[in-house]
Amino acid sequence: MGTKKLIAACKKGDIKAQENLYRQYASKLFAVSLKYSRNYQEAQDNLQDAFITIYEKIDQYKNKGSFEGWMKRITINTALQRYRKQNMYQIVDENNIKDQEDVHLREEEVSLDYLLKIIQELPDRYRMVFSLYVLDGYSHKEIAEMMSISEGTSKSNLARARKNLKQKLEQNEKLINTRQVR
Amino acid sequence: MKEKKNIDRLFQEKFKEFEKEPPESVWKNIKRELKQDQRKKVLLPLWSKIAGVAALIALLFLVGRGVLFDNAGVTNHSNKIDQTNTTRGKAFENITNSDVESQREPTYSHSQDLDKSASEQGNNVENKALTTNSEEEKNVTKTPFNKQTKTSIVNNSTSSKTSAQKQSVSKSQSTSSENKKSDNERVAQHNLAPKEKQKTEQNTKLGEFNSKTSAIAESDKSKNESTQQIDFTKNKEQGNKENQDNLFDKIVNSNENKTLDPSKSNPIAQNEVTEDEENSDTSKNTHSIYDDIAKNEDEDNLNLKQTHEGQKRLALRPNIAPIYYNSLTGGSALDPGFSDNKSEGEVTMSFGVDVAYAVSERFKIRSGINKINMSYNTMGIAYTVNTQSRNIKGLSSGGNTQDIALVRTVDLPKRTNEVNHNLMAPYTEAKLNQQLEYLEVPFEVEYALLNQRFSINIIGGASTLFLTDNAVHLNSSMGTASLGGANNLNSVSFTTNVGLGFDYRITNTLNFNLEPTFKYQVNGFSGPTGGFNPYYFGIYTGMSFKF
Repeated sequence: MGTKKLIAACKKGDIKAQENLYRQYASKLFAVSLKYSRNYQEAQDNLQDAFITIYEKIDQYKNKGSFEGWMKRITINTALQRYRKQNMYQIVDENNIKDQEDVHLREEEVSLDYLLKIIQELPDRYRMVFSLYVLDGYSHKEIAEMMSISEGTSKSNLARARKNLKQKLEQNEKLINTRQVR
Repeated sequence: MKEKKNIDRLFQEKFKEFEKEPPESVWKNIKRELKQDQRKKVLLPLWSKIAGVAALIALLFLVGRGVLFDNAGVTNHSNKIDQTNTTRGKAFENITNSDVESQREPTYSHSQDLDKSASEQGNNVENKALTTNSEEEKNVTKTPFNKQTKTSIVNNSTSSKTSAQKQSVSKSQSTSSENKKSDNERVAQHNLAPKEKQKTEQNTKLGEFNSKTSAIAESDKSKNESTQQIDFTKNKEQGNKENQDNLFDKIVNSNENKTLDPSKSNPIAQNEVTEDEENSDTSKNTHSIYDDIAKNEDEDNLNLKQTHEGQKRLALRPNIAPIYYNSLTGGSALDPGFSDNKSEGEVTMSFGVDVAYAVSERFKIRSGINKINMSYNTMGIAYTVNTQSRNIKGLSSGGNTQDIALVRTVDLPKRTNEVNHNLMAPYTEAKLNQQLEYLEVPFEVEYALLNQRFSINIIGGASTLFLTDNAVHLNSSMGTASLGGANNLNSVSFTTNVGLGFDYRITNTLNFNLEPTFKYQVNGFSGPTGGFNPYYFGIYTGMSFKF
């Protein structure tokens, strides 16, 4: 079924079409969920919630812009909402924010799974900002709006995320180096 | 080979084509939920229909009720009273103004013969007393039925010395006075309790005249058993000479009359000084009696006016106040996340100087400058040191890079086996304290409700606040940590003020003031504060120096 027909059928509540839609886009959207969730289990929950929302709101999709992009946005927002309730408040010096972090490492040694793991280990807010900015290309202004934070907060969260990831990567690098080469 | 890699690029490249197939359980769960939603979709319209009908019935009921119980227009009583007042007012004007002089003419003839017997010396108290007495004697000799009324002559000299004509007049007046009596009282009351700002001199005079005369009437009521006279007294608006005469005598003879100063109530003494527009030579004394009544009133007003003008209009008032600052709705100005936290107000100080200008006797406008410190605490906070948190929106830390993180105590894990990897560090309970310092420039009006030695005023107005300093601290059992300053404070904000002033006049130049005032701050913060609505309540105490 073509995408447009699929969408039209879903709008009518055709369960077959809905399943069809799921089969077609689940992998991509699950990847998105993994980048924003704390772990595999929570990523599943996120994907589930995202699809329910997609089916509910499909009427609002007006065939403007990428349908995949629309679904991806819903998936991200579902994750943001889940982790919105923020418990911790930070005192931060906004003047000392590093813009770039560099790591010394062997690229081939770093697997995607490992990178995903350390992303998921980040504190929620850092992870959100990192994934939004680095992996999905949103601007700090857009992030601020989506997360109801200031642009400054977005920048500082990103800096801290980078710092955190760098530390972990470098630690891992050390481990690799000390291990026997197999 | 090691490569220096930009971390962003590293991640971006790895995640470029990232896809992962989810387990089948996900679809199963989605399917199940979709089926449940279908069922809900059927039930929902039914419920909404029922709710809609119920709402419609309720609405109809309310509308119908409103129509049935609609009141007919309320008669406008106040208009009536005002009209009455003005007509009577005019009548009074006639008495108190120069018209009195014209009325004097006919009165001469009446009492001319009476006062002729008075000594030709100047007008003084003794003279008057003599005059009165001699009048009495004269009257006794003159008219037979005066004998009967001799005992009550002191207060009833008019009726005693009058001819039959007068008495008949008085009688007729008294019969018709019943209605007028109540009218007068109403007028008097109306004049006495003006809450509007009409300050026409006539009204003021009127009010005072009424108050005096009614007071006189009241005080004499107890002394005098002659109702005739009382009614007579109350027929002021008749513009009756006898009335005035009687009144004058009351003024002179009534020792218990507290509304009039003895010196003032004795117009004779005063008339001695004032040169008047007398026409007739023969009845200078007579003149004075009737003059006096008018003059009495005029002079009272004059005196009042003088005191008002001589009254020092400008007052300088240094003041100091304990200030209690808090939010009407709780929360914190530092972050909307704290909006559910309780806020605890603290008492601090404000001190400054005010300048007041008396526009009229009861009305003052004032301004000044105050330095005011405020402080409040946000409760239910705990702190720890870690890196897993977001910034407090409204706070700018100055160079303090230590990662202090705050958490609301309600968000802390309650059970030890509850794992939240964001909240793993040990925490310490604390209060988040915000201090603010402003320069306040108030603009207020003060209206005196009661204006005696002890006066009560209502105060209303607004202030402009200029921010001069602010600081945020964390106070806990472990000590105090400075967290920097708030970044969401507007440098200029405003308050609306309302208060009650209690003044005690110590001397003519010195007053003691006590003014509890409530001030609600508007536009104090920029950006979201989660509904933090601050106010402060101060008890402003000071001494005002008039000049």
